[in-house]
Amino acid sequence: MRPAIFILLFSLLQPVLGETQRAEQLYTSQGCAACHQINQPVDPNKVMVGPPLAAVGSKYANDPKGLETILTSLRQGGGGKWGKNEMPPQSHLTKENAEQLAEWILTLRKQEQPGGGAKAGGHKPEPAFHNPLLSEKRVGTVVEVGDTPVVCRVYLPGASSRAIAVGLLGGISYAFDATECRLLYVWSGGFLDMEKAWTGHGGWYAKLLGTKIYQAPSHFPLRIGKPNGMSEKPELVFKGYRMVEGQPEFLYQVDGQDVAHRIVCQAKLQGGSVSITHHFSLPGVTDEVSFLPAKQHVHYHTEDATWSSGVLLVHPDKRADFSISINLKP
Amino acid sequence: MKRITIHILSFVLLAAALLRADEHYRVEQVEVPQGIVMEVSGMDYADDGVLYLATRRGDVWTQKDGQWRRFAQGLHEPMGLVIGNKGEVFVSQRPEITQLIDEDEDGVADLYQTITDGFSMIASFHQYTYGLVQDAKGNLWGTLSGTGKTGPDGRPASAKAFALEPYRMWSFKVSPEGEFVPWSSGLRSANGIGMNLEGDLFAADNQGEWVGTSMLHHLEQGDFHGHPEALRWDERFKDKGDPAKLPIEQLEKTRKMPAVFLPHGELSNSPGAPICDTTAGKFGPFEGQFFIGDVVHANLMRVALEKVNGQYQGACFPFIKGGSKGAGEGLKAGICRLVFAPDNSLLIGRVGEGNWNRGLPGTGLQRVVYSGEVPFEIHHIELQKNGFKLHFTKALDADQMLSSDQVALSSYHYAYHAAYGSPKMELKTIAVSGVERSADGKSVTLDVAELVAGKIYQFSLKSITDSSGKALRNASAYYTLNELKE
Repeated sequence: MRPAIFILLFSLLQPVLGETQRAEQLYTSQGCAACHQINQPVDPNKVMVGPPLAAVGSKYANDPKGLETILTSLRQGGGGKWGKNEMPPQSHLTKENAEQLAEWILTLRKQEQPGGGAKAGGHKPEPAFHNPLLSEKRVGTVVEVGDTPVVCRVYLPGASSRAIAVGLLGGISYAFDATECRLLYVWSGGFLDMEKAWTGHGGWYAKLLGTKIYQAPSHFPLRIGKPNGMSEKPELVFKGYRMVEGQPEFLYQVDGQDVAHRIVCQAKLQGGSVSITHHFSLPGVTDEVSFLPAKQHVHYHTEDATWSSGVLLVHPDKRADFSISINLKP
Repeated sequence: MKRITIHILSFVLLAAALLRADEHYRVEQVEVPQGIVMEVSGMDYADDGVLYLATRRGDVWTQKDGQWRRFAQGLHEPMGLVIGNKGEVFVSQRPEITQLIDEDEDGVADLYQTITDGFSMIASFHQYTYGLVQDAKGNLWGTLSGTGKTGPDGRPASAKAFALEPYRMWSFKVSPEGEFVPWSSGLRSANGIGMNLEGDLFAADNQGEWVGTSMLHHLEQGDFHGHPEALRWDERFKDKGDPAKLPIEQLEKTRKMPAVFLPHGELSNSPGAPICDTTAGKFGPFEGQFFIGDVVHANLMRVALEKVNGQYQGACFPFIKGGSKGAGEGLKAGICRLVFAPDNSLLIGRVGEGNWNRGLPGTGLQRVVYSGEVPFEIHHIELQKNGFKLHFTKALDADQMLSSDQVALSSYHYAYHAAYGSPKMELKTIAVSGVERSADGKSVTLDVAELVAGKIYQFSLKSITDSSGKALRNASAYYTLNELKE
C-alpha cells in the first residue's frame, strides 16, 4: 500500500510535461515572449515587435519547407516576412530547443475571433474607479482630474522628452517643458490617456484627451538684464516644482537668477473664454526684467509692465513679483 | 473503496502541502491598496520604519502598520528610490534624479526638487533610469539603460539596445552637490543597483546582444562591462567610429568580466536589483551576500563573492524558486526590487509591464520570512589553487563517506558576441579527483582535473547530508572563475 501512495505522490509532484507545455515554457524562458505573442493580440496596440506565433504557424502549416524556414529564421535571424523589424539570430537556443519551438509554432493557428486570449497575456481590464487614496480618477489607463489638479510627467506630443502635464479643474490642462522651462500649450476637454506610457512595453507618449486651444510662442519669454541681448537665449536650469495649493510652481534659473513660475488657466463662465496668467517671482532681482511677447497677435494684460521697444518691460518695483495674462476668445 | 480513495487523496494532498512548505523560509503575500496597479520599481525604508515605494506609474506610496498613503505622484516612470543618510527621499525617474521633500510635514511631498538631469533622454520605450543607492559620502548611484529603437507608434522596432545619446548604458554617480558623473560603461540594461557591506557597487545586466547571459557586474570608475554601444561616450574611443565595429579582440581586452554570470533560463532571464543582506544573521547565515530576484522567472538567487587577485568573483545559487519552495501561494514572478524590512524579512516588489511585459509577470508585494532554523546550504565557494573549497552553513554528517561521485562538475562559458544571448559554449564534464572534508565538517575541498580562467563551473551535489541526515536545501551552484589563484 505504502509504495503505491508514494508512487502516486511523486507522480503528482513531478508532473511530466507534455511537448506543448514544454514548448510553452521555452517560449517564456528563452525570451520569445519578449517580442512575440502566441495569438493575435486582443488589443491592436499590444502588437509586439514580431508577429504572433499563431500567424507564423498558420502561414507555414501546409508548407513542406515550413519547419526548415522557421528553424532557419531562429538560427540565422529573420526579417522582411512580417514587417520592417528584424529578428536577431537566436543563438542562445540549443538545437533541441529550437526544434521543439519550431514544431510547436507549426501547430499554432490564428484565431478568427479576437479575444481568444494569448496564453502569455491574461490581462484583466481594470475597473473604473475613483480610489479614495488617489486625488485623480483613473479609469484603466485614462487619467482624469478629480478634486484637485493633477501633475503628470510623461512624454507629451510636441514637447521635449522632459515634459510635465498639468490637469486643472474645469477641463483645462496644459503642458510645461522642463527642458525649455516654459509653457508649451493648453488643451481643453479631458486630461490624458496613459496607455502607451504604462502598458505593453510602455515608455511612450501620453495621448491628450481634448482639443488644443493655445500654442505658446516657441521662445523662452523672460529676459533678465539689458534688453539688448533679446535674441540671445538665456541659460536655463530646471530645478523642479513645488506644489502650492494643489498646483505646481515651476522652479528654474535664468542666467543664474532663481525664478518661481505659476501658470493659472481659468475658463470664464461668461462668454466661454479662457485666461492664462503667468505669475513670476524673481527673489532679489535687481536687473531689468522683460517679457518677450508672441510674434503673432496675442493680447496681453498686465499692470506690472509696460511696452517698450516691442517687449513688456517690468516696472522696477514689480520685478520680484509680477503677472502677465492673455485671454483666449472662445 | 470510495472511502479508501478519498483517504489516499487527502493523504496525497496533505503530503504535497507539507513538501511545499519550507521550514526555513516562508513566502507571504503583502496586502496592497485595492484597485491600485502596484508595479513596484523602487523601495526603501526610512529610519522610522515607514516604507517608501515607487511605482512604474509614477506614484510614491508610504506604508506603515498597514496604512497606505500616497506621498508623491506624477513622476515619469521612476525605476529607483532610496532613503538618504539624512532621511531624504530620492527617486530616479526617466528625465532626472529628484528629491521629494515634505516641507509642511503632512506626509505628502510638496517640493519635487531636481537634483540632476545631466544625462540625455529621448522618447524610447527602453530609456530607464535605474537606481538608486546612496553611499556613506552622500553620493547617489544608478544606471542608465540602453535606448530601444522605437517605431512611430511607440512599439519596439528592434530587440537591440543603442546608446546614441550620452550617457546611455553607463552607470553614474550624483555627487551631494548634484553633479552628474558618468562612472562605468557597457551595461545593456542593468535594472537596479546594489551596494555591499564594503560600499562596493554592483548591478545585474539583462541578457541580450553582447550579454550572453544575465550577469552581475562590479562597477568601478572607468570599467567597460561589455556592450560596445556605450563606448561612444568613452574618451578613449571617441574618434574610433561605430564602437560595435571595433575588433572583437580589442573589446575583449577592454572588457571587465562580470563578478558572476547568472545562467539564463536556469536562474535568470531578467534580473532586478541586487540587495545585500544587512540583517547580521537575522535573515539566515548569509550576511554580506546578495539576493537578486528575476522579473520573468519566479526566482530568488543568492550570490556569494570573494576577491581573487583583487577582483570580485564568486558563485550564485538558487534560493527560492516559485511554486517549489515556501508555503502559501509561493514566490511569484515580476521580482524587480528587494529591500530588507525592519523586521528583517525580505520585501519583494513586483513590476508588471514595461519592457518586462512578456507574460505579464504581475504586480504587488510579497515577502520572505526566515524562521530562524538555519538551512543546510552551500554558504560560499572559495577558489583553491587546484580546485574549490565548498563552505556549508552546517557541518556535514560525520559518518557519511564522501566521494567524488557526489559532485557533478561541469564547465562552460557564454559567447561574447553581437548576437542576442548565447548557449553554453564548450560545455564539458570536469573530473573531481579528490574530496576532503575539513576537521570541523563544515567545508569540503575538491581537487579538480583542470581550472581555466574565463569559465563558469557548475556544481551539482548529490546525497550530501548534515548531521541530522537532512539533504542540502539547494544542491547546485555556479562559480564564475575569472582569476586563478596564484
